[in-house]
Amino acid sequence: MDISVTGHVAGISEEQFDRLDPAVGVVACYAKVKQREADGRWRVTYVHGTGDGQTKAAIPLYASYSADWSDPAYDPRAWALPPAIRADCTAARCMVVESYEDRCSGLHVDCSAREPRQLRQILAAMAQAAAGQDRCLSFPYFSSAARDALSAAACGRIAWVPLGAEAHIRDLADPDWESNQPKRVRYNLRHDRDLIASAGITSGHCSWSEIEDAASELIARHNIRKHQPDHPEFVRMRHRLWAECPQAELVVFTARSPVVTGVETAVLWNNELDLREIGLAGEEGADRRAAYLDLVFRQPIAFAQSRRLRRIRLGMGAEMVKTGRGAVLQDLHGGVLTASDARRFADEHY
Amino acid sequence: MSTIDQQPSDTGSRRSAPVLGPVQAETGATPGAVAAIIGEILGIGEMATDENFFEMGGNSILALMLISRIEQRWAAKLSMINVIQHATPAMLADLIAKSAEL
Repeated sequence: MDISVTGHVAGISEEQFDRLDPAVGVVACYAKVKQREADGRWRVTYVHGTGDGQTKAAIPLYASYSADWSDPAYDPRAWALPPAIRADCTAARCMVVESYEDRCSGLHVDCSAREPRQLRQILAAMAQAAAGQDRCLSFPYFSSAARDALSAAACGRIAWVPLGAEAHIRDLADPDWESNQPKRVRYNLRHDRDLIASAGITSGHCSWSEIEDAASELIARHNIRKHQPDHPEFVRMRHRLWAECPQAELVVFTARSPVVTGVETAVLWNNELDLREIGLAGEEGADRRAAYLDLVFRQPIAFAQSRRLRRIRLGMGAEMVKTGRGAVLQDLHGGVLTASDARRFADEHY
Repeated sequence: MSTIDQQPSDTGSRRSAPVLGPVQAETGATPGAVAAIIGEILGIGEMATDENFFEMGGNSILALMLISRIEQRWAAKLSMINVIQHATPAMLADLIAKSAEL
């Protein structure tokens, strides 16, 4: 495999790029990766591997211009890594592999190049790029399969910790999806619909531009209430970027009752629906729970079935609630190759 | 969720309090004038017009402050996307000029 380093994804075929990791979804698609190049908070380089005239690997590496992490969930110092490994992981000392946002990373390496010898060659080029700037390599929110492949290639030098799990509802295009679910799931889905009906929830969906101001306020307030710092302007930015992402469609589900107002945003791409953020206002109680269930499960499932989508990505958190509605979990992991190990690895293998 | 800085950058002791701009909006934002505002917000005095706001100590919270200062001074309503995608004084001045033409 021939390896080169480039500053732009534009020289790589979109079709070949998106084929490298088809499992990961819109957060790692070509259009989104290209959009990230315009983000002045990060400098991006790509490790590009080619063979037989095809792209075999195209891994984005992000170096922060800022001393602060733009999303604290990406700060390896907050992960349960050994103190000696996480100590140096400031934003200025890390090179982030694949993505710095959305809490789900792909691994843009063709399956034929994921065996240890070839992946080691790619990893050595990544380590060389990090070592050149005296940075660690950080691998945020990687799947178990990606972690295992990288671990084998790195001869165990990447330190990994679990970061949670992403929930997916699959096989929704099957008209018998609900009846094929276990009894417990069928009961929960029926019970949710009864709860939503008795709360008098009015449901709907619309485009982001129709509801931007109100939705930005709701989501920001919701996050702040959950002790996650936010601001309506930040919410607006995140969603406008989705709305501007080519080939992706940003949808907003809405739910309203006399005592509760809520929105859930979702991105429709390539036959999948990826739920992004929720904003829910109103007192704790049955109506609020009904609005939550309507926004996160009933409406997205109905929407997906009406469009014959194959999958809903539900994101992280609330795992019991999600598996109780038919979701399966995929573990996500965070890894770090320290700056000194990156230098050694590059010296040995690049 | 992304893009949220928990704290302003750690330039704390060097950062001066933001100074309110004139009530009446000015016309003709120059890269130097934008650089001076950013320098004030970041508490770094001077910065070159091709330097990156985030590299010089900026973060999302300080970007909100910058948006507000630009609106006060030039009556140009920028967004967070504008700031992250036009992160130097020269690029921001160009954007302010274009918004004035609309």
